[in-house]
Amino acid sequence: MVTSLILAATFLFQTAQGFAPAGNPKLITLSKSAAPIREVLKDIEKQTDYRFFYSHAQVNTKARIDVRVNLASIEETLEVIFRAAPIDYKINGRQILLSPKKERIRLPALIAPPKEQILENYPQFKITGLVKTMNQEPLPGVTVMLKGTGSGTITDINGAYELMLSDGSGRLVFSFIGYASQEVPINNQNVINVSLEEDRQALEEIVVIGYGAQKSKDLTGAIGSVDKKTIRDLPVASIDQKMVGQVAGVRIQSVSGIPGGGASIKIRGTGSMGAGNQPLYVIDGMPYSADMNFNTNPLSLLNSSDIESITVLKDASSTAIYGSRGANGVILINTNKGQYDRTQIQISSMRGVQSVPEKGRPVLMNQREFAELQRERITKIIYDREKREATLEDFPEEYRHYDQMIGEGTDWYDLILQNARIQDHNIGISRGNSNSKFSLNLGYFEQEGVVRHTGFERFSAKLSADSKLGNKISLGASLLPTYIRQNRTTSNSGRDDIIGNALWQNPVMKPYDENGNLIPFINSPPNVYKSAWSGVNPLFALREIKRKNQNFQTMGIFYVDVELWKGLKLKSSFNGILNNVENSTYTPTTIGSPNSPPNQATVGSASLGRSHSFNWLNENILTYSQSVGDHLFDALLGYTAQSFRSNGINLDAVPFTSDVVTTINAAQAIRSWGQDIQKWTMLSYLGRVNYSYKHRYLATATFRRDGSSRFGSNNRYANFPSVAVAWRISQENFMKDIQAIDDFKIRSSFGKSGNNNIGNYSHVAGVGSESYLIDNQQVSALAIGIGNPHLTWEESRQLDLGFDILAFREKISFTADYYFRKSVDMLINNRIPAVTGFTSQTINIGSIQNRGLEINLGIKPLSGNLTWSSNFNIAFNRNKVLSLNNNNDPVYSGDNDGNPSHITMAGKPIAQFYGYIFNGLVTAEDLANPNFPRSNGHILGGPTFKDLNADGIINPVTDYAILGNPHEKFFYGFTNNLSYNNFDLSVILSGQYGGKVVNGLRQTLDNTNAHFNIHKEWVNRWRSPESPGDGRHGAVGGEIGTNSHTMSNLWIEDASFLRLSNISLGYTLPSQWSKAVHPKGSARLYITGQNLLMFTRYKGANPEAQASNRSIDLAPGFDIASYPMARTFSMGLNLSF
Amino acid sequence: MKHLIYLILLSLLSACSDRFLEQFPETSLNEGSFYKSENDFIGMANGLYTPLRDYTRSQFWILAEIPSDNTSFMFNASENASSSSWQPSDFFQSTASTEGTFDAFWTTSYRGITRCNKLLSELNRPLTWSNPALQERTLGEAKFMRALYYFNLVRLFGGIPLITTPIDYEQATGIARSTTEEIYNAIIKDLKEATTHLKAAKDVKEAGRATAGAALSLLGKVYLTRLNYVDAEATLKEVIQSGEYELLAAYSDVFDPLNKNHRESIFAVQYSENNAGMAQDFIFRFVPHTSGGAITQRSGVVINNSWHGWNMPTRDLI
Repeated sequence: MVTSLILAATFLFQTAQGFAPAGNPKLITLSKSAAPIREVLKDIEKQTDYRFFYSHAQVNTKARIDVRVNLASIEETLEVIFRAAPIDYKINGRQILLSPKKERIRLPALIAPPKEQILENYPQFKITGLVKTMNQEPLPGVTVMLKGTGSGTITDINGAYELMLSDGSGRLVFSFIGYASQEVPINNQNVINVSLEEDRQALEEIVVIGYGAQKSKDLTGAIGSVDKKTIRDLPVASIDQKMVGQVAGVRIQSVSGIPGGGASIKIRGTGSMGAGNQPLYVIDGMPYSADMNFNTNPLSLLNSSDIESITVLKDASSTAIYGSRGANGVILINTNKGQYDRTQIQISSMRGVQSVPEKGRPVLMNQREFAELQRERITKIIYDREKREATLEDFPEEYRHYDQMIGEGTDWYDLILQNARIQDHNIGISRGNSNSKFSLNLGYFEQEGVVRHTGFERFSAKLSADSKLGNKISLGASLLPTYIRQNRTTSNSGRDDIIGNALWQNPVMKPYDENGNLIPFINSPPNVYKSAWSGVNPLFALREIKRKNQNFQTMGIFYVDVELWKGLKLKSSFNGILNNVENSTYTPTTIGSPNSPPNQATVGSASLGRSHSFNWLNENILTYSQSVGDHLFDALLGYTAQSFRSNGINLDAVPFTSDVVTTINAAQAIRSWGQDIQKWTMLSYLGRVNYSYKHRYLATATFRRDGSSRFGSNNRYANFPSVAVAWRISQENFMKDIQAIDDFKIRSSFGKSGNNNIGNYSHVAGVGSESYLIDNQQVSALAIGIGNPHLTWEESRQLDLGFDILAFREKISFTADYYFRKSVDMLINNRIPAVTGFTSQTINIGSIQNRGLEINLGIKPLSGNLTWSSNFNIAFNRNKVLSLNNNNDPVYSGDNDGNPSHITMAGKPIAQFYGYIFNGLVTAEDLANPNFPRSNGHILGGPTFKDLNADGIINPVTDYAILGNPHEKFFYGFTNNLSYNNFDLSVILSGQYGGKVVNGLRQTLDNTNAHFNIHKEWVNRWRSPESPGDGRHGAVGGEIGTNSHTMSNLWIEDASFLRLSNISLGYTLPSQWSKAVHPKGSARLYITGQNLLMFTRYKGANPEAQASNRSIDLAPGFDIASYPMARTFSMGLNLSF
Repeated sequence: MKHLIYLILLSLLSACSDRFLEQFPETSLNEGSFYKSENDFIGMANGLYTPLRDYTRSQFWILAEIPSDNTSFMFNASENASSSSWQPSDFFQSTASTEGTFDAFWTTSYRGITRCNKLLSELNRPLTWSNPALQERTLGEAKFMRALYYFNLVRLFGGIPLITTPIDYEQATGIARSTTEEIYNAIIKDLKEATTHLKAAKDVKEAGRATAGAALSLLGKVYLTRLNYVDAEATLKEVIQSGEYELLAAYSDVFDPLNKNHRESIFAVQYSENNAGMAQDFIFRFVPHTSGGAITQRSGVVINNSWHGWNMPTRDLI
């Protein structure tokens, strides 16, 4: 595993060559005559990352050779050098081991021991041992030294060493490039085995950036990357769910538990009201649209085991290279490819079970409490209407006998839930020689829904091949076909969807009939005074309504890389994404709707939507790198063209008189139909210059010019410049002596990026069609709508100040970033002078600011046999709307029975909760007071709200106030990795503090009108002046109902939470076992628990949940009938050989 | 050599970039694919009349007729009429509810003017008309309608912003009022030009469209309004002498729904009963509220809304 990681890093570096700083070109140029081999090897070490290991005693490197290679690979070079010399070599990652030809390696001797010393102090204490990696792979070439002396040796090809010392005292130091050194006291032991921990070499790590890669030490921007190893075991469908809590400032909100459903990802706050806040994804160089799609996550089309690296670009300096699409941040995802000189088969298999935790399930009235509520309402209505007391006969039979109501009644929510299977199986084969590499990965993922009859399946493949044609040309292609299918239901929208339905259904009624069959429709007992709502049996609906989504997508990537000149390279690529989606629904004749049971006249209905899209991108990137002394330049110049077109049709067919044939053709008519074609095109010019002086002073300037069909003709091209500077203070002489500090860098960047999600044709004037009568004939009367030739992108200007500290031999890393991001030219529907012929128009006018702080702390307190590394990140963001339209009129949004639930106004954070302020329950005194403000349902014990405009009437909106802020104060992630011998353990915690959430379902359902089953808290309702309950839960209404279920502060709760996201425990089989099967074999078993615990004061299930029919930007924090989040336990096996 | 090919390829790509970036909706009518045939322009000309129809039905008479001596507002207490804008209008009171009527009239008027301006500015496009008279008619209609919209506006508001080309919101923000004189000059100029164009379109006359007779009659009315009796007489005489129009024998025939666009009608807003959006509801609004269905004779429509019978003609009008 370790070896493959090193190889992967090397490979990344190799492919990224064109863009990386010129420090280490992969290709070697040598021109030597009669030079000692030793000198030639030193030259290679200078030019590359490769290091040679050999024993001077055995390998004669003083022999002189002639060597002439030009831009050759390491394999070619070594072939030339050692063609004639009696030396064998072996490339092992970055290490090259030399040994005498055709001779078994003998026990290594001392490295150049001073002869006098040997004579005077003849060694007689013998130590032997094995040096291995943490994964029990032998580590050759490790230097073993007696501390404080020149005595030592190196390990052989099997990781074994033997050392003769004068006595058994002192300490041995094991050191090896790429690994943390280890000291072991000898204490007269004759056998000392050690495992070396991989040294991440944080500074030399290659980080993928936009259109290239850089060494970590040369970065100037605010960039976060995800440690692939930490998140490998997480049993989830898509990569975004794995990234939760991993990168500071990247807020991944699990808005629902829908298998394969979407998540909301925001980087550095909300910068747009109408153009979306989701970042841009770039997969292997291909921008990938992943707008938040509630039901199907576009990222679920990507198999996360195909992913090699994930980098998050946050500041303007790193995102500006993506121009008009970079404002919300960029997430770069690179998939893995084969490796040169290696054949490997990797198999992974995972199986688990998901269930819905008890905590957070709705706590509703039981059957007896429900019956009491029904009887109380009926009693009151009878009193109001007939001025008499109710008798038992007035109640429906089902509610009469409390004594027969044993148990809680039907738990409808529990009825629709199940323990659900999850599984993930992957096999990957990669093979390569020195010129070509090839890989094939196949994957299957299945996640049954914890809500019955729902689920998600993915079949994916990835095929890639890369090859070199001579020294100057390399080319490659990859193909990623994926097929997913989903069985869906309706959720996250309101009380009428299936999950909503299960949250209010009558607990007195039974789901099954005497024969054990599901009853299709639950009729609440009818009563002349008051009947509770009736509705479809949610489990029956889940089983019978077929709601399917299928998506077949193929991503294809082809590139050719040509070295035109020394240091000058051209990379041309042609990428495409072909996507086909089909959505179909069939609702059979047996399905009723609330209060309208299915009958003879009920008909079936079907809908079918299909769309296909093609997105292609051509990129031509020139790169040039040059170093002059201590000055290092590299430059990039590019031209790209991209086009997208989708074409979809949808049909809605009704009626079906029977459910035998459910395809569209069996319907008697097509009720509605439509076709939609969307197209956009884009042309871009981009450039970047990196400059570094002694890797101490770093500067980056980028520029992108985007032309987009989405922009109006007067603003067709947009320019996005950025600059960044960084200073590695630790490289200065005055700091070089501070041993504790490995690296200290301060960074600053400023730039612009854009958000072009403004609709494809918003700037185009439509032609409206009306009718008029000419010559008594109806003719079409056309009018040109309002176009906006100025319409353009939303622009984000961002300043970033940050620093990185690496200390105590990379044991502590600390990064902090302050950012100030101002989004201007926000699209807002603005009132315009009527003399234009129109009254409103969407224009670029509003602005929002986000300020924040991101901190990331990594520590490695323990290394050696027991290792512990820990990473904590936290991000604070403060959002403020600076201006809206011309008059700064507030923007109302959300929906609560036709009224808004959120308000956005200048000077406040975007989308504040907006509603009534609860003012206690109506007393007899209030009722008698004619001046007491009235509202609908003004009854004794009923709820009342503040009459803010003091007009005596409590009206929606005019008496609304800001009730709270849905945005968190900060959010955080805390990851711990431990390993001991063959065991590894990782623990991931994530959470947020502050921010509010509305329990939307309570806001919709919770009234005492006895329509629905409601929260158990209502048992403590006002019953009489003597028994006023808890003061929050009002009286049951009589003839007049109550209006407690309006938007008010009653339903606003604290959204803070701490989630134990994941615990994984792994065990790597001892290498002797796996080696017995295959020399390169390794095997690891693990168990993992996902979403294990949640600490929150929120009474709903998921404080991050969001309604699907309300904007996450303008009506956030609205949790309604949410698909529950599963808790998953799984176990898996990883094999590689 | 290879580099050269790339350079050529790059420049080729740049050359076609403007067209590459020009994308219009394929599934709906839009400006990008419009102005291709004379029917597009005739369709736009038809669109000039609909704002007139809409405000004539819903606002113009509330602002122009009810405050006059011809009719007065009659409130029927049995009907729920909590927010009528008619009564205040009768007594020239400005309230929140009359503001809505003024606002709608203003907005609808400028919607009509904008359509005229847009049609006139796009008519310059090179296009071969099957019959040049159709182009003349379209030009004439646009100028006539613009004059009519301004005439109704200027009489209600006095000096207003004079806009004769399509403008965007930035140009419109803070635009100044022109004087009454300037407005009338523009109206007279438009009507004179409309007359010329419409005379050339004599052979393609259609009921409901502006005609030379209509333009001359409106011009005469404008002169009368300006107290310019000399020009008024000359202009209106031309209408009479054209021989195209005459008074009908029976006054009641003028308003007979079965007898539309007769010889007494010079220019009439066109309504149709077949389509709710194109229909006129005066018959329901102005009928005495005690009449039931006796007058309207529309069995399908029961008069029980709160709108009927409120605009009562005064005795001297009858």
